[in-house]
Amino acid sequence: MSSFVLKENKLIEEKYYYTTHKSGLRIFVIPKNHGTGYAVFGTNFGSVDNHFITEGKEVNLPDGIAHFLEHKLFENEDGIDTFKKYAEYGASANAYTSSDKTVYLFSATENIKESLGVLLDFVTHPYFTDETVAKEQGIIGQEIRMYDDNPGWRLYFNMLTALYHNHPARIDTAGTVETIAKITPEILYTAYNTFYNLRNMALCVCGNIDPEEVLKVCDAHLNEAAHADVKRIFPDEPDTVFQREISQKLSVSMPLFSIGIKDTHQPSEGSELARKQAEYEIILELLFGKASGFYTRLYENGLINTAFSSGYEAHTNFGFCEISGYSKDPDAVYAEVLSEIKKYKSQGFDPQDFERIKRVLYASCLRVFNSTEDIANDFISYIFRGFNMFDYPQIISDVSLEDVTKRFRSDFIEERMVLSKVLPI
Amino acid sequence: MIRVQLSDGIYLNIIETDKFKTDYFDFNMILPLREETASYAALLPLVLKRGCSKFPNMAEISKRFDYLYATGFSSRVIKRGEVQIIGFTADFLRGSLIPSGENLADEVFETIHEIIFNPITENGGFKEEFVESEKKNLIDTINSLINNKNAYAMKKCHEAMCSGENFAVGENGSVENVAKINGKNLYEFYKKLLSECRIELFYTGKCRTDEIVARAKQLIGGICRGKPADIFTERFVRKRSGISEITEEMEVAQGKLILGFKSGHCLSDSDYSAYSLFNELYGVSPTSKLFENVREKLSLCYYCRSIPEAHKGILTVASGIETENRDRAVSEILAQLENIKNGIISDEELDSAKKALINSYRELYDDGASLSLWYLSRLIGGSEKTLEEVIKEIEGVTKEEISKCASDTELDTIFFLKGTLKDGGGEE
Repeated sequence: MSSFVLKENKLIEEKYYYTTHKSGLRIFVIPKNHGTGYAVFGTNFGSVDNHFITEGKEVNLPDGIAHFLEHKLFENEDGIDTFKKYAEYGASANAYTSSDKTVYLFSATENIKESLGVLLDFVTHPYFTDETVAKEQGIIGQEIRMYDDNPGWRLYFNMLTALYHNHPARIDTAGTVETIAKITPEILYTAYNTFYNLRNMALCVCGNIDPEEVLKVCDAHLNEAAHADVKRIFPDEPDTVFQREISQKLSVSMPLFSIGIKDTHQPSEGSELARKQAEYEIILELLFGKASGFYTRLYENGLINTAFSSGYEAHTNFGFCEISGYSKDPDAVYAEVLSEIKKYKSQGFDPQDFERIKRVLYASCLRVFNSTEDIANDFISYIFRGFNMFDYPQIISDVSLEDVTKRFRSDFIEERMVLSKVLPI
Repeated sequence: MIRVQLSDGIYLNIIETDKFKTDYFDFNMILPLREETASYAALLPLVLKRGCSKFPNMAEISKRFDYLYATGFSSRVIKRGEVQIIGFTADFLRGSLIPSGENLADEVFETIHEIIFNPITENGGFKEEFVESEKKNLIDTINSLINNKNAYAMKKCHEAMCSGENFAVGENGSVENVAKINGKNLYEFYKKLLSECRIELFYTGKCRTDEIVARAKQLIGGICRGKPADIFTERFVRKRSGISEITEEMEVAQGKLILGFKSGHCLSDSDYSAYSLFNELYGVSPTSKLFENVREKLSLCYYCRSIPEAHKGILTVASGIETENRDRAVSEILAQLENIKNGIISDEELDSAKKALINSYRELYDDGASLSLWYLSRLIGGSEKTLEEVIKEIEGVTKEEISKCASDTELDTIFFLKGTLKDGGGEE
């Protein structure tokens, strides 16, 4: 007797199975006829979650702890590296940490059940020693140095530093060489025991696999989790920006710019967040999409090139729009962005353009379903924000021109905008 | 895969599948990579995308593709060995997912035909305004290589190994040669290219073969063909007996180490699969010798990997390290190669490498763009083996064959981009 609930979306010709395992873990299985099976197992513990209360105690952890923990979980008490265990079954494994989650994953064209066992097993069995922590400080130190030289990465985090006064979104995912030097096995265990509770976690498996088989593997590898006990603490964040402009000099051929626009409607989750995301995406595409007057004009004037892009990042505790690219004159681009916003505030959006953009976004939602990797990663990312990606196409089609106009008028204001630049040395 | 010849030197490759939401299509013009023409080839797609008779500017082209349910249309210029490829790619939604049920393929193919074959011309050349503006963009792209320090260091190493050879030419050519282009000479290049270059088309999706052949024929309709030019790559030959060591300083935090080797193995060799497996075992997967030793045991780096240039016969090892660790990293990278030469390969390592490589090949079936590119690279390298045939070969490779590959791999050049910044860049 299956405990799975089947959900189907006929519009996009997709379905998924859902259940909560007796361990407390939420399980999602998305059947696809691909040869590549893809599984993600993650927790909503990211780089912003280093201040919280657990077991009645207030805890502050060093910056970069979530990312460090992600690296360290790959080591096991039996001395056999996790990659070796996967290798026996031919799976390709990896993991990533973002601002709001840590995700462990593998892709495989055979032995999916066996690799799923490896995944569930190593993530639920932490093993940290002084020696292995020290070793990782060297490796992650080089990862940090690599990003120090990455102009796009520096540009992005500088923008966040300017946008936020206090919110930990302004902190680099990996921390710094100094903050990770403070990490010890004890600190790793504290973070692990607080956030790696199966009730805070989710498993998404996408591919040609029977949901019952997934359940069997979970039965064999997971024990019932205790009640999850964590209260995250976020500092008060004013609606204003921390600084209007920030710049850094690096060895680059031409300047890079990133314009951030702070979303002050916080916190939000679930369908409210998804709706907000849809509205922001439509606005950005209307103003700055490849078919927009803005893009054409600045491109033809040589102020931007094809690397220009815009997007909205939606999280439960923070959110922002980013407009970025390369330009010989970032200040001129910034001025053009401001005047474009002003122009649309007075003239309003064209209903035909609005319908075209909705069509574009509908198609890009569907395109995600080409790849088991994209489906699994998007699915878990939405789940941690209290929403389901299968409902997103409908959310987009429900957005009205009035909704978009209202959001645009209230949220796109100069006082909430910052300009980050990376300039040649 | 079905392969159909459409005309002299023009082929259509069809991979039929119904597992994707979108059908994928690419159009590749293939020519020898030469100093004199590389910049022309790199500039051409940029100019064509600026506008055509029917859609006279970028906004009109973008709106057209938006209207076709956000058909993704882009161009790329890449090199494989001493061969340059100008590619246009498109992916578009399947009819059943479109509310009206219409099939987009006809309109997508028509639009691509307009862009490639009906450009805007003036005075017997391309529109100067487009050409001048895209020349600036291309020069910016060439100069922007320095933004990616690892790619920059790789290119410097390849240039040092192959100076004076066609392989040293970048896929975008050079700033000097871009400057020489105008609307007229680019148009002449374009006409000659259409008549002489080899053209490979790939289609991955749900379609009837006869329908897609008909669409492809329409797409290339009106093309005037001469004798297709030969495409081949000279195999890398070492110019020195010793090792060339080059150090360049830059204001960066992390040093970039590149070791360039003669591999002695090319795709056209019938036994190339052994070299692919050697490469996997040496420096690709997290169970490879380089990852396990340079990163995990010695804690010297975040990444250390080997990258073969299968058309030219070069192997490159790349890592990002602290400047003071350069010599330790070099000696460990070479020690691991020596181990493989001496047959220090466990059964487990061999088995893991085979499984990892075969898995990465099988995953290609789930990505139309990557699968097409895999076949295209193989065709250009002179190998017509199917993915399944290659997988079968991998399964049969022995430890002795891998050791032989390691023995053939000779260090030629060490390029080091030495970081002079101590604590990252300063904020202004």
